[in-house]
Amino acid sequence: MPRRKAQSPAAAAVSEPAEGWWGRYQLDEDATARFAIGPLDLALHHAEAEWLIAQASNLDPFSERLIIEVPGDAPESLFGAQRHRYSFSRNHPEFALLPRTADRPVVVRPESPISVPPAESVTFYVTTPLWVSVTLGAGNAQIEDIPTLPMNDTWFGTTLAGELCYAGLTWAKNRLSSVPPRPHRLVTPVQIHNRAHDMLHVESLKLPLINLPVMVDDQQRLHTPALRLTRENADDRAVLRVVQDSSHENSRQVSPARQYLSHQSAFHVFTRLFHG
Amino acid sequence: MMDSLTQLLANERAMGFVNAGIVLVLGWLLARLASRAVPQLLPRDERQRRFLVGRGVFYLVLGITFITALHQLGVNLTALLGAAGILTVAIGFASQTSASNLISGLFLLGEGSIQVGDVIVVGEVTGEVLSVDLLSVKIRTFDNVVVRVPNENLIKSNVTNNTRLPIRRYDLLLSVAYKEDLKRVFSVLEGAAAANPLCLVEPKPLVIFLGFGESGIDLQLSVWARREKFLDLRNSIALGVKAALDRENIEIPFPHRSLYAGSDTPPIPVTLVTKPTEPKD
Repeated sequence: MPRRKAQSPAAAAVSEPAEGWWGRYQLDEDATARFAIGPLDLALHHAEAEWLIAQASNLDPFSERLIIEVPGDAPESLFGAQRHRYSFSRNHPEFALLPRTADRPVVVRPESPISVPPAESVTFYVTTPLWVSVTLGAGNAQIEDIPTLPMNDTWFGTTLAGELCYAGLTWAKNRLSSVPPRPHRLVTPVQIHNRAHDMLHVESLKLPLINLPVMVDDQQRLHTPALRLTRENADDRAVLRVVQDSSHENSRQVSPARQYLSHQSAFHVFTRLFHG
Repeated sequence: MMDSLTQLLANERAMGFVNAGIVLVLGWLLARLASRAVPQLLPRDERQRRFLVGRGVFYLVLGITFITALHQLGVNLTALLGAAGILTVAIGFASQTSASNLISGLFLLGEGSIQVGDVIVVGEVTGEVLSVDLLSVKIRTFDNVVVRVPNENLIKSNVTNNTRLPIRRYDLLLSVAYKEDLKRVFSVLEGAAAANPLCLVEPKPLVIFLGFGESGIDLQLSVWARREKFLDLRNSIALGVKAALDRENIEIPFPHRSLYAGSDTPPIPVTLVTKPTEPKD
């Protein structure tokens, strides 16, 4: 289970309480805020009219760490890692963290291939790493968009044309209760309706996460709306529809989708065809 | 005043000049408009092609306008076109190379196989295309030298476009010692590819057995990368593979030479000679 190591009184949120690791925070000058969100270590140092942001990932995809220290102590080594300075004309004591989806579609491969017989409908719960958006100042200017876990690139399409995506591995559990809650992962329910007359072999699946908002339920679990994929014909395409998911109760939106899904259409989502 | 205006209007020759002037002005305006409107029909990213189509439309409309204006002036176009034909033949003979490059340039632009910004290889020249003109293509090499390649050369020779497709494959050739377990080597190489963040998961990295070489077993590791990250991958995959092989104590062989003094002869004798030390004062 994730644990909250410390929550300083100074971490009192400005506009709304920080219920998970996300929310708005205030930090005095010459103070440091430290967060550990699963594998991601994140530190924000507030200096005079500038912020120093440092990050590192321990690359453990199963990490359940949740540490929030505002103010807190960040290890010196963290600031020796990947860091960036942001300068302003005046002091901005506020910052906010926001959970976001991946900034590209994610191609998930089930740990073992799954087959869905004709006329069957199944729901799988797929988890993917979250991105952490850091905003500063009164204008909420986004200055960082950090993956909690670096993901490998993959190509979805042919070698002549296709789309750059992230690659992920999933256990594709069919019950939400079987999915371990992790602070850095986002749950996406995937409903597959196979209306074609042949067996659907799901070797990998492209999730258009950039088109989905991030929601939180009353268990403080981050998730997206469900993706309903309806396969009508014996090919690798499916009609994609974003629907509300009944497995998460009292959900509310935490961050909007990165891109608006303008229309529903048949997408290549199930297999890839590579030559060469 | 009115009399002189009436006389002017009655003068057919003067009216011809007026009409020709009006045709020229209208034609010039039409040429300007058409040269801006027609390129809009082409894709936005084909800047060079849009520019040339625009210029072509401009000069075509202007040419028709000019001929119409001459007609208004009463010039005998048949004789003029005949003279122009003779002139064209004369110019054509005098500038065969330029004409060849010009036609090659039109073919290149029509094909659309080279765009501004592409990285191409022509003969011994590798670089980024700065412009595709009617007579030549300007290439900026990676040591920042501009090379002008005549279009005729591009039509005649093989041109490799390194940036046309979105992903590229890199083939790393390597050898391992004969004593190594090949299955383990394959697994280590696949692991090195999987650990490299620039290496695409799909298309899958591939390890290919090439043959039994002089000094070791020759292999090929083929990995894919986004074209923007291709050079980074070339370096990082070599570093990663070397580190992985070192970590697993897999030997990368250097050329071996075995010396035989004959099939049944004893080994070649080796004598160690010690240099005598000089006495110190």
